[in-house]
Amino acid sequence: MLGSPLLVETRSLAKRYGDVTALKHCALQIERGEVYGLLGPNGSGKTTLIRLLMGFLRPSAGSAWIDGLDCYRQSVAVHARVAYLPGDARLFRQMRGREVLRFFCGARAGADFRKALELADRLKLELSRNVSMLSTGMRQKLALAAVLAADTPLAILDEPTANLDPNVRSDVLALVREARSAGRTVIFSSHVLDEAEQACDRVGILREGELVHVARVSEVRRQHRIRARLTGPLPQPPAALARQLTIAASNGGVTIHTPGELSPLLGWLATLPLAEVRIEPLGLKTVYESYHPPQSGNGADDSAADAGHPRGVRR
Amino acid sequence: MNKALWSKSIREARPLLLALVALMFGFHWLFVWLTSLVELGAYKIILQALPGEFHSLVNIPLAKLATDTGRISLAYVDPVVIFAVLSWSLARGSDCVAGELGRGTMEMLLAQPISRLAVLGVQATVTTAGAALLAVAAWLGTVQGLAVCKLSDEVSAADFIPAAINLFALTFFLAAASSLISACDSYRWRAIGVMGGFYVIELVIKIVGRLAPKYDWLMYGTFLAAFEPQVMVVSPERAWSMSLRYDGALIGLAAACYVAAAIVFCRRDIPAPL
Repeated sequence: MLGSPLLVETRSLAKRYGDVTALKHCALQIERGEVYGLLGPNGSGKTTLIRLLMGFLRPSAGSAWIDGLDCYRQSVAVHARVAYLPGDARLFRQMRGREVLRFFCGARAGADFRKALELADRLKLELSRNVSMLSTGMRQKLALAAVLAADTPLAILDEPTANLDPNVRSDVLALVREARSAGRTVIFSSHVLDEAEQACDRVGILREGELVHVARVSEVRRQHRIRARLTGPLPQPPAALARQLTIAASNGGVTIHTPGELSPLLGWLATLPLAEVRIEPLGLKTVYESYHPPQSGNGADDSAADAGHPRGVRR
Repeated sequence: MNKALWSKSIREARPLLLALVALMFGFHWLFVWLTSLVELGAYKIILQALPGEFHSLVNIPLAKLATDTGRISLAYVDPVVIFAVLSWSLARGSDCVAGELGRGTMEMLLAQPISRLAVLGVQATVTTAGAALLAVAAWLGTVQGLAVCKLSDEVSAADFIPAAINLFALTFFLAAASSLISACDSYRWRAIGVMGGFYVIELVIKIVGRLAPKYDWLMYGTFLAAFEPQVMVVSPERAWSMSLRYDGALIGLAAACYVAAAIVFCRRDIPAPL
């Protein structure tokens, strides 16, 4: 895979703990220079996948590769190419902030202490304090500064904005964008769909340990959903449009899902016997909720049908 | 190996090591001084009043125990010394894997281009160096005591070198066994508990084996049978052959424990921070 456009690849990757399957049949492909979001609720397998990529866990089946290196068997060489921020970053409590940055910069070739100090300054970190005296959010920021100071081709950030206040969250997203601009690849796991939509080029949605959907964010942004109530029967769309649309009728209404541009559809829409119509961009949230309906059940069934996605893998 | 890793490990070990080195040095010096205060004749009377089982336990004939050399040799099996040795070996050994896992710092550490073997190797090297320093401090404490205190017998500091080496071998083994338990576990408190329990069981086996002649075969089942520094001191003519057997056994067992710890640690899954 050296020199190939793919930086990260997993093949039928699985992890089982006794009877519990934490990850199954995961086939992931991430290209160099893209920001890839891993989305899913707690227990969906995001962190297991990341820990397998880091070589912390031995795969039960399949394999994971980063830059042509086996993540488990060649983990030291893989780590030289990866900067990793865990979801709950724990640092050496007896060290001061500056010493933590010095340790992580000293632990890997190519890490720049001055860059770490600049990042710390940008994140408004107090480096003279002991780690044990820092709040959870401050520790997370310190870990982020340590991780992003390493100039590695890949950065894996497991929920990097958890525990952070909104201002710092936007700083973190800006840092992710800067990393991408610098040609780095970023794997970004998050619960916050807005953040993923802002930061990621592509997202993978995990459900019960399975990668069930991969979407390009730019394409998701182009998709629209039209909800309408009709006064008469729905006429057949023109053949050219029919191929693109997913139409679902329910309770006297109709939901039309369009995967691409809206403009070719508008003429046909104007011919419909409409009582009410609502056109909205689909957004990542709708795609996500088609695989993970909200717990309240509010519109859950709708969103699955609305998004027009089958309950299987779709790329 | 990684310089940052060495600095971290030394930094973590330093406070406990300095305290225990001071304790070892001071205690052995103090022990010689206290020995010089108690007249040998009075000591013999005390020894004769003690039940025979005491002599079985210390494994030294009364005639040899009732000398300044014999009395000072007991410092090497004193509970204070055992406490210091156990503190160092259990604290360090249990910390190497289970401690880092428990604090959640292992994954940040292993996310660097540092092998698991290096993490364990650096920790083990610093712990072993610390064990050697403790043994040297014990011996230097004895040397200092002998230099400044007036004793009735002529006592040679060189006679205590095999005892100090035996002390080192015991510490090395205890640290290695603790590291093995730590490599298998994710909770430091449990690793300390298991190792502490193991030590107590081995001690009870040794005591039973010593006190009950019909159970003397139990001595083959305890590593503490290879810890006899007081015997090495009072029998200088066979001290080095004993050292070869006893220290060789302890160091060999320790090496086996470290190899097993490395295999376990390199193959195991690293759990998410607890």
